[in-house]
Amino acid sequence: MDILLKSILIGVIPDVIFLSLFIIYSKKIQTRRVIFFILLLIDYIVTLIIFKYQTLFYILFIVIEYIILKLLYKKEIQLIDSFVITIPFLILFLMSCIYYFLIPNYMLACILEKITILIMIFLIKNKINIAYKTYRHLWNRTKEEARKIRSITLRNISLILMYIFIFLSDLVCIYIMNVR
Amino acid sequence: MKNIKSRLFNIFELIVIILIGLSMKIPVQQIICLLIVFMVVRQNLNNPMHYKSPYLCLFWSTTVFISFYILTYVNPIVAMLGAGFGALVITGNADVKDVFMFNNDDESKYREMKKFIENNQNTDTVKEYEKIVKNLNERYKNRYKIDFYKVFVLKFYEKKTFKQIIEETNLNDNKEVTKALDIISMSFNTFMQVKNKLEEIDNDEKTG
Repeated sequence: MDILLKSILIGVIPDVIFLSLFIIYSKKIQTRRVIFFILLLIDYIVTLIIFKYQTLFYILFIVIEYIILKLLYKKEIQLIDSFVITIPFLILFLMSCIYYFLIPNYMLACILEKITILIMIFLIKNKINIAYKTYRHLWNRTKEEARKIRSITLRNISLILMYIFIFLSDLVCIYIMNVR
Repeated sequence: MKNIKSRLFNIFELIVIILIGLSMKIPVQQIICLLIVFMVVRQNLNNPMHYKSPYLCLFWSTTVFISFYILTYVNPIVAMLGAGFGALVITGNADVKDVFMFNNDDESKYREMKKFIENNQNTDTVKEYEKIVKNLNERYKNRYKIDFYKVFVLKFYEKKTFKQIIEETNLNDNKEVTKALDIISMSFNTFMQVKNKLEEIDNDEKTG
Protein backbone atom coordinates (compact mmCIF):
# COMPACT_ATOMS: atom_id res chain seq x y z
CA MET A 1 0.00 0.00 0.00
CA ASP A 2 2.83 2.31 0.96
CA ILE A 3 4.64 1.62 -2.33
CA LEU A 4 1.45 2.10 -4.35
CA LEU A 5 0.73 5.43 -2.64
CA LYS A 6 4.32 6.62 -3.15
CA SER A 7 4.18 5.54 -6.79
CA ILE A 8 0.96 7.48 -7.37
CA LEU A 9 2.10 10.61 -5.52
CA ILE A 10 5.67 10.81 -6.83
CA GLY A 11 5.28 9.05 -10.16
CA VAL A 12 1.80 9.15 -11.62
CA ILE A 13 0.38 12.52 -10.52
CA PRO A 14 3.35 14.70 -11.65
CA ASP A 15 3.47 12.80 -14.95
CA VAL A 16 -0.24 13.36 -15.58
CA ILE A 17 0.02 17.04 -14.58
CA PHE A 18 2.86 17.46 -17.07
CA LEU A 19 1.10 15.57 -19.87
CA SER A 20 -2.22 17.37 -19.40
CA LEU A 21 -0.63 20.82 -19.03
CA PHE A 22 1.37 20.30 -22.22
CA ILE A 23 -1.81 19.68 -24.21
CA ILE A 24 -3.72 22.47 -22.40
CA TYR A 25 -0.98 25.03 -23.10
CA SER A 26 -0.32 23.93 -26.68
CA LYS A 27 -3.98 24.04 -27.72
CA LYS A 28 -4.95 26.78 -25.25
CA ILE A 29 -7.79 24.65 -23.93
CA GLN A 30 -10.21 26.75 -21.89
CA THR A 31 -12.96 24.29 -21.03
CA ARG A 32 -13.27 20.91 -19.26
CA ARG A 33 -9.66 21.00 -18.03
CA VAL A 34 -10.41 19.22 -14.75
CA ILE A 35 -12.39 16.45 -16.47
CA PHE A 36 -9.54 16.05 -18.95
CA PHE A 37 -7.02 15.78 -16.09
CA ILE A 38 -9.14 13.24 -14.16
CA LEU A 39 -9.74 11.07 -17.24
CA LEU A 40 -6.03 11.18 -18.06
CA LEU A 41 -5.21 10.13 -14.50
CA ILE A 42 -7.60 7.18 -14.72
CA ASP A 43 -6.18 6.27 -18.13
CA TYR A 44 -2.61 6.38 -16.74
CA ILE A 45 -3.38 4.25 -13.68
CA VAL A 46 -5.43 1.64 -15.57
CA THR A 47 -2.93 1.19 -18.43
CA LEU A 48 -0.07 1.15 -15.91
CA ILE A 49 -1.72 -1.63 -13.89
CA ILE A 50 -2.30 -3.68 -17.06
CA PHE A 51 1.04 -3.14 -18.85
CA LYS A 52 3.51 -1.94 -16.14
CA TYR A 53 5.69 0.38 -18.24
CA GLN A 54 5.96 -1.97 -21.19
CA THR A 55 5.94 -0.51 -24.70
CA LEU A 56 2.25 -1.29 -25.08
CA PHE A 57 1.64 0.98 -22.07
CA TYR A 58 2.95 3.98 -24.04
CA ILE A 59 1.08 3.06 -27.22
CA LEU A 60 -2.21 2.35 -25.49
CA PHE A 61 -1.92 5.45 -23.28
CA ILE A 62 -1.38 7.68 -26.33
CA VAL A 63 -4.31 6.08 -28.17
CA ILE A 64 -6.64 6.43 -25.15
CA GLU A 65 -5.49 10.03 -24.55
CA TYR A 66 -6.37 10.83 -28.17
CA ILE A 67 -9.80 9.23 -27.73
CA ILE A 68 -10.38 11.20 -24.49
CA LEU A 69 -9.48 14.46 -26.25
CA LYS A 70 -11.70 13.54 -29.20
CA LEU A 71 -14.62 12.79 -26.89
CA LEU A 72 -14.18 16.01 -24.92
CA TYR A 73 -13.34 18.45 -27.70
CA LYS A 74 -14.66 16.65 -30.81
CA LYS A 75 -13.89 18.52 -34.06
CA GLU A 76 -11.10 20.60 -32.52
CA ILE A 77 -8.98 17.47 -32.10
CA GLN A 78 -7.49 16.24 -35.35
CA LEU A 79 -4.93 13.70 -36.51
CA ILE A 80 -2.04 16.16 -36.07
CA ASP A 81 -2.73 16.09 -32.31
CA SER A 82 -1.62 12.46 -32.04
CA PHE A 83 1.90 13.76 -32.68
CA VAL A 84 1.45 16.63 -30.22
CA ILE A 85 0.47 14.06 -27.57
CA THR A 86 3.68 12.11 -28.27
CA ILE A 87 5.99 15.11 -27.65
CA PRO A 88 5.48 15.37 -23.84
CA PHE A 89 5.90 11.59 -23.67
CA LEU A 90 9.19 11.89 -25.53
CA ILE A 91 10.32 14.61 -23.07
CA LEU A 92 9.25 12.47 -20.09
CA PHE A 93 11.01 9.45 -21.51
CA LEU A 94 14.28 11.31 -22.16
CA MET A 95 14.21 12.92 -18.71
CA SER A 96 13.62 9.57 -17.00
CA CYS A 97 16.51 8.02 -18.94
CA ILE A 98 18.88 10.87 -18.10
CA TYR A 99 18.06 10.86 -14.38
CA TYR A 100 17.90 7.07 -14.15
CA PHE A 101 21.40 6.64 -15.59
CA LEU A 102 22.95 9.68 -13.84
CA ILE A 103 21.66 9.21 -10.29
CA PRO A 104 22.03 5.77 -8.72
CA ASN A 105 19.38 6.40 -6.04
CA TYR A 106 16.09 5.60 -7.81
CA MET A 107 13.83 7.57 -5.47
CA LEU A 108 16.02 10.69 -5.61
CA ALA A 109 16.25 10.42 -9.40
CA CYS A 110 12.49 10.15 -9.63
CA ILE A 111 11.83 13.19 -7.39
CA LEU A 112 14.41 15.34 -9.21
CA GLU A 113 12.98 14.31 -12.59
CA LYS A 114 9.43 15.27 -11.61
CA ILE A 115 10.56 18.62 -10.18
CA THR A 116 12.46 19.34 -13.41
CA ILE A 117 9.55 18.55 -15.72
CA LEU A 118 7.10 20.61 -13.66
CA ILE A 119 9.44 23.62 -13.58
CA MET A 120 10.08 23.17 -17.30
CA ILE A 121 6.40 23.14 -18.25
CA PHE A 122 5.78 26.43 -16.38
CA LEU A 123 8.85 28.03 -17.95
CA ILE A 124 7.93 27.12 -21.53
CA LYS A 125 4.15 27.42 -21.26
CA ASN A 126 3.89 30.47 -23.53
CA LYS A 127 6.23 29.07 -26.13
CA ILE A 128 4.35 25.78 -26.49
CA ASN A 129 1.36 27.43 -28.17
CA ILE A 130 3.60 29.39 -30.55
CA ALA A 131 5.43 26.18 -31.50
CA TYR A 132 2.11 24.39 -31.90
CA LYS A 133 0.74 27.13 -34.17
CA THR A 134 3.88 26.96 -36.34
CA TYR A 135 3.69 23.16 -36.52
CA ARG A 136 0.02 23.36 -37.43
CA HIS A 137 0.70 26.05 -40.04
CA LEU A 138 3.35 23.91 -41.74
CA TRP A 139 1.25 20.74 -41.62
CA ASN A 140 -1.06 21.47 -44.60
CA ARG A 141 0.08 21.78 -48.19
CA THR A 142 0.08 25.22 -49.77
CA LYS A 143 1.18 26.83 -53.00
CA GLU A 144 0.77 30.35 -51.66
CA GLU A 145 4.10 30.66 -49.87
CA ALA A 146 7.60 29.22 -50.08
CA ARG A 147 8.47 27.17 -47.02
CA LYS A 148 11.66 25.81 -45.56
CA ILE A 149 10.07 22.42 -45.04
CA ARG A 150 7.46 20.66 -47.14
CA SER A 151 4.26 19.43 -45.60
CA ILE A 152 4.93 15.81 -46.59
CA THR A 153 8.50 15.95 -45.21
CA LEU A 154 7.23 17.33 -41.90
CA ARG A 155 4.68 14.51 -41.71
CA ASN A 156 7.30 11.88 -42.55
CA ILE A 157 9.69 13.23 -39.90
CA SER A 158 6.90 13.29 -37.27
CA LEU A 159 5.96 9.72 -38.13
CA ILE A 160 9.55 8.45 -38.05
CA LEU A 161 10.27 10.18 -34.72
CA MET A 162 7.13 8.69 -33.21
CA TYR A 163 8.11 5.17 -34.28
CA ILE A 164 11.72 5.59 -33.13
CA PHE A 165 10.37 6.73 -29.74
CA ILE A 166 8.24 3.56 -29.52
CA PHE A 167 11.25 1.41 -30.42
CA LEU A 168 13.58 3.15 -27.94
CA SER A 169 11.02 2.94 -25.16
CA ASP A 170 10.84 -0.80 -25.84
CA LEU A 171 14.64 -1.14 -25.58
CA VAL A 172 14.81 0.83 -22.33
CA CYS A 173 11.85 -1.06 -20.82
CA ILE A 174 13.57 -4.40 -21.55
CA TYR A 175 16.86 -3.08 -20.10
CA ILE A 176 15.25 -1.79 -16.90
CA MET A 177 13.23 -4.99 -16.41
CA ASN A 178 16.45 -7.04 -16.74
CA VAL A 179 18.51 -4.82 -14.44
CA ARG A 180 15.86 -4.88 -11.73
CA MET B 1 6.96 6.66 -72.22
CA LYS B 2 6.87 8.83 -69.12
CA ASN B 3 4.40 6.41 -67.58
CA ILE B 4 6.70 3.45 -68.26
CA LYS B 5 9.63 5.28 -66.68
CA SER B 6 7.57 6.06 -63.62
CA ARG B 7 6.40 2.41 -63.34
CA LEU B 8 9.97 1.17 -63.66
CA PHE B 9 11.04 3.59 -60.95
CA ASN B 10 8.23 2.36 -58.67
CA ILE B 11 9.33 -1.26 -59.18
CA PHE B 12 12.95 -0.29 -58.43
CA GLU B 13 11.79 1.54 -55.29
CA LEU B 14 9.81 -1.52 -54.19
CA ILE B 15 12.83 -3.79 -54.68
CA VAL B 16 15.03 -1.42 -52.64
CA ILE B 17 12.45 -1.37 -49.82
CA ILE B 18 12.18 -5.19 -49.81
CA LEU B 19 15.98 -5.61 -49.86
CA ILE B 20 16.39 -3.21 -46.93
CA GLY B 21 13.79 -5.23 -45.02
CA LEU B 22 15.61 -8.48 -45.75
CA SER B 23 18.94 -6.96 -44.71
CA MET B 24 17.30 -5.99 -41.39
CA LYS B 25 16.32 -9.67 -41.00
CA ILE B 26 12.59 -9.00 -41.24
CA PRO B 27 10.66 -12.12 -42.41
CA VAL B 28 9.42 -11.86 -46.02
CA GLN B 29 5.79 -12.40 -44.97
CA GLN B 30 5.96 -9.38 -42.66
CA ILE B 31 7.57 -7.21 -45.34
CA ILE B 32 4.79 -8.15 -47.77
CA CYS B 33 2.08 -7.56 -45.15
CA LEU B 34 3.51 -4.09 -44.34
CA LEU B 35 3.64 -3.19 -48.03
CA ILE B 36 0.08 -4.39 -48.61
CA VAL B 37 -1.32 -2.54 -45.58
CA PHE B 38 0.48 0.66 -46.56
CA MET B 39 -0.58 0.53 -50.22
CA VAL B 40 -4.20 -0.48 -49.59
CA VAL B 41 -4.76 2.25 -46.99
CA ARG B 42 -3.03 4.88 -49.12
CA GLN B 43 -4.97 4.02 -52.28
CA ASN B 44 -8.31 4.09 -50.50
CA LEU B 45 -7.88 7.57 -49.04
CA ASN B 46 -8.27 10.98 -50.65
CA ASN B 47 -5.41 13.11 -51.98
CA PRO B 48 -2.31 11.01 -51.36
CA MET B 49 0.75 13.30 -51.13
CA HIS B 50 3.72 12.86 -53.50
CA TYR B 51 7.22 14.20 -54.05
CA LYS B 52 7.94 15.63 -57.47
CA SER B 53 11.56 14.52 -57.30
CA PRO B 54 12.04 10.72 -57.63
CA TYR B 55 15.18 10.86 -55.46
CA LEU B 56 13.30 12.51 -52.58
CA CYS B 57 10.51 9.99 -53.03
CA LEU B 58 12.97 7.09 -52.86
CA PHE B 59 14.77 8.53 -49.82
CA TRP B 60 11.64 9.20 -47.77
CA SER B 61 9.82 6.02 -48.79
CA THR B 62 12.76 3.88 -47.68
CA THR B 63 13.21 5.89 -44.46
CA VAL B 64 9.53 5.57 -43.58
CA PHE B 65 9.64 1.83 -44.29
CA ILE B 66 12.77 1.46 -42.14
CA SER B 67 10.74 2.96 -39.28
CA PHE B 68 8.01 0.34 -39.94
CA TYR B 69 10.65 -2.40 -39.92
CA ILE B 70 12.01 -1.07 -36.62
CA LEU B 71 8.48 -1.35 -35.22
CA THR B 72 8.36 -5.05 -36.15
CA TYR B 73 11.14 -5.61 -33.59
CA VAL B 74 8.69 -4.30 -30.98
CA ASN B 75 5.62 -6.17 -32.22
CA PRO B 76 4.55 -7.19 -35.76
CA ILE B 77 0.91 -6.20 -35.14
CA VAL B 78 1.98 -2.77 -33.88
CA ALA B 79 4.06 -2.45 -37.07
CA MET B 80 1.01 -3.25 -39.23
CA LEU B 81 -1.06 -0.66 -37.39
CA GLY B 82 1.87 1.75 -37.71
CA ALA B 83 1.99 1.19 -41.49
CA GLY B 84 -1.75 1.88 -41.76
CA PHE B 85 -1.42 5.01 -39.64
CA GLY B 86 1.61 6.12 -41.67
CA ALA B 87 -0.32 5.75 -44.91
CA LEU B 88 -3.15 7.83 -43.44
CA VAL B 89 -0.86 10.62 -42.24
CA ILE B 90 0.59 11.30 -45.69
CA THR B 91 -2.76 11.88 -47.37
CA GLY B 92 -5.17 14.80 -47.46
CA ASN B 93 -7.31 13.04 -44.84
CA ALA B 94 -4.78 14.07 -42.20
CA ASP B 95 -4.98 17.78 -43.17
CA VAL B 96 -5.77 20.23 -40.43
CA LYS B 97 -9.28 21.57 -40.91
CA ASP B 98 -9.89 25.22 -40.15
CA VAL B 99 -10.98 24.80 -36.54
CA PHE B 100 -9.28 26.65 -33.72
CA MET B 101 -9.66 26.12 -29.99
CA PHE B 102 -7.99 29.38 -29.20
CA ASN B 103 -9.29 32.84 -30.01
CA ASN B 104 -8.18 33.46 -33.56
CA ASP B 105 -9.83 36.86 -34.05
CA ASP B 106 -6.55 38.53 -35.04
CA GLU B 107 -6.42 36.36 -38.16
CA SER B 108 -10.17 36.38 -38.88
CA LYS B 109 -11.21 37.64 -42.31
CA TYR B 110 -14.18 39.47 -40.77
CA ARG B 111 -12.34 41.18 -37.89
CA GLU B 112 -12.91 44.77 -39.11
CA MET B 113 -16.61 44.22 -39.72
CA LYS B 114 -17.00 42.45 -36.37
CA LYS B 115 -15.28 45.29 -34.52
CA PHE B 116 -17.28 47.97 -36.34
CA ILE B 117 -20.64 46.34 -35.61
CA GLU B 118 -19.63 45.75 -32.01
CA ASN B 119 -18.84 49.46 -31.53
CA ASN B 120 -21.78 50.81 -33.55
CA GLN B 121 -24.55 48.31 -32.91
CA ASN B 122 -27.50 50.69 -32.51
CA THR B 123 -26.42 53.33 -35.02
CA ASP B 124 -28.35 54.15 -38.20
CA THR B 125 -25.55 52.77 -40.40
CA VAL B 126 -25.71 49.28 -38.87
CA LYS B 127 -29.52 49.30 -38.82
CA GLU B 128 -29.57 50.28 -42.48
CA TYR B 129 -27.15 47.51 -43.33
CA GLU B 130 -29.27 45.05 -41.35
CA LYS B 131 -32.21 45.92 -43.63
CA ILE B 132 -30.03 45.24 -46.67
CA VAL B 133 -29.11 41.81 -45.33
CA LYS B 134 -32.82 41.09 -44.77
CA ASN B 135 -33.58 42.06 -48.36
CA LEU B 136 -30.67 40.03 -49.70
CA ASN B 137 -31.88 37.11 -47.67
CA GLU B 138 -35.38 37.25 -49.08
CA ARG B 139 -34.01 37.46 -52.59
CA TYR B 140 -31.21 34.90 -52.51
CA LYS B 141 -32.01 32.55 -49.64
CA ASN B 142 -33.34 29.79 -51.89
CA ARG B 143 -30.73 30.22 -54.58
CA TYR B 144 -27.75 29.90 -52.22
CA LYS B 145 -29.54 27.68 -49.68
CA ILE B 146 -28.24 29.96 -46.96
CA ASP B 147 -30.15 32.02 -44.40
CA PHE B 148 -27.90 35.09 -44.64
CA TYR B 149 -29.77 37.12 -42.04
CA LYS B 150 -29.59 34.35 -39.44
CA VAL B 151 -25.87 33.82 -40.07
CA PHE B 152 -25.33 37.60 -39.80
CA VAL B 153 -27.16 37.82 -36.47
CA LEU B 154 -25.48 34.74 -35.04
CA LYS B 155 -21.97 35.81 -36.03
CA PHE B 156 -22.00 39.57 -35.49
CA TYR B 157 -24.66 40.16 -32.82
CA GLU B 158 -24.58 36.98 -30.80
CA LYS B 159 -20.88 36.31 -31.48
CA LYS B 160 -21.41 32.60 -32.03
CA THR B 161 -18.59 30.30 -33.17
CA PHE B 162 -18.57 28.41 -36.49
CA LYS B 163 -19.56 25.25 -34.67
CA GLN B 164 -22.56 26.96 -32.99
CA ILE B 165 -23.62 28.53 -36.30
CA ILE B 166 -23.61 25.07 -37.93
CA GLU B 167 -25.76 23.73 -35.08
CA GLU B 168 -28.31 26.54 -35.32
CA THR B 169 -28.64 26.77 -39.12
CA ASN B 170 -29.03 24.39 -42.04
CA LEU B 171 -25.33 24.78 -42.92
CA ASN B 172 -23.34 21.57 -42.90
CA ASP B 173 -19.71 22.52 -42.36
CA ASN B 174 -17.17 25.32 -41.91
CA LYS B 175 -16.85 25.81 -45.68
CA GLU B 176 -20.53 26.71 -45.99
CA VAL B 177 -20.32 29.12 -43.03
CA THR B 178 -17.25 30.74 -44.60
CA LYS B 179 -19.11 31.07 -47.92
CA ALA B 180 -22.05 32.80 -46.19
CA LEU B 181 -19.80 35.10 -44.18
CA ASP B 182 -17.72 35.99 -47.25
CA ILE B 183 -20.87 37.13 -49.07
CA ILE B 184 -22.10 39.08 -46.02
CA SER B 185 -18.68 40.64 -45.48
CA MET B 186 -18.32 41.72 -49.13
CA SER B 187 -21.82 43.17 -49.22
CA PHE B 188 -21.02 45.10 -46.01
CA ASN B 189 -17.82 46.49 -47.49
CA THR B 190 -19.68 47.50 -50.67
CA PHE B 191 -22.38 49.18 -48.56
CA MET B 192 -19.77 51.10 -46.58
CA GLN B 193 -18.00 52.14 -49.76
CA VAL B 194 -21.24 53.45 -51.27
CA LYS B 195 -21.80 55.37 -48.05
CA ASN B 196 -18.20 56.68 -48.24
CA LYS B 197 -17.56 55.21 -44.84
CA LEU B 198 -15.09 52.50 -45.71
CA GLU B 199 -12.28 54.26 -43.83
CA GLU B 200 -14.35 54.20 -40.65
CA ILE B 201 -14.06 50.41 -40.55
CA ASP B 202 -10.27 50.58 -40.59
CA ASN B 203 -10.21 53.36 -37.98
CA ASP B 204 -12.50 51.32 -35.75
CA GLU B 205 -10.23 48.32 -36.09
CA LYS B 206 -7.16 50.33 -35.15
CA THR B 207 -8.75 51.94 -32.10
CA GLY B 208 -10.63 48.80 -31.01
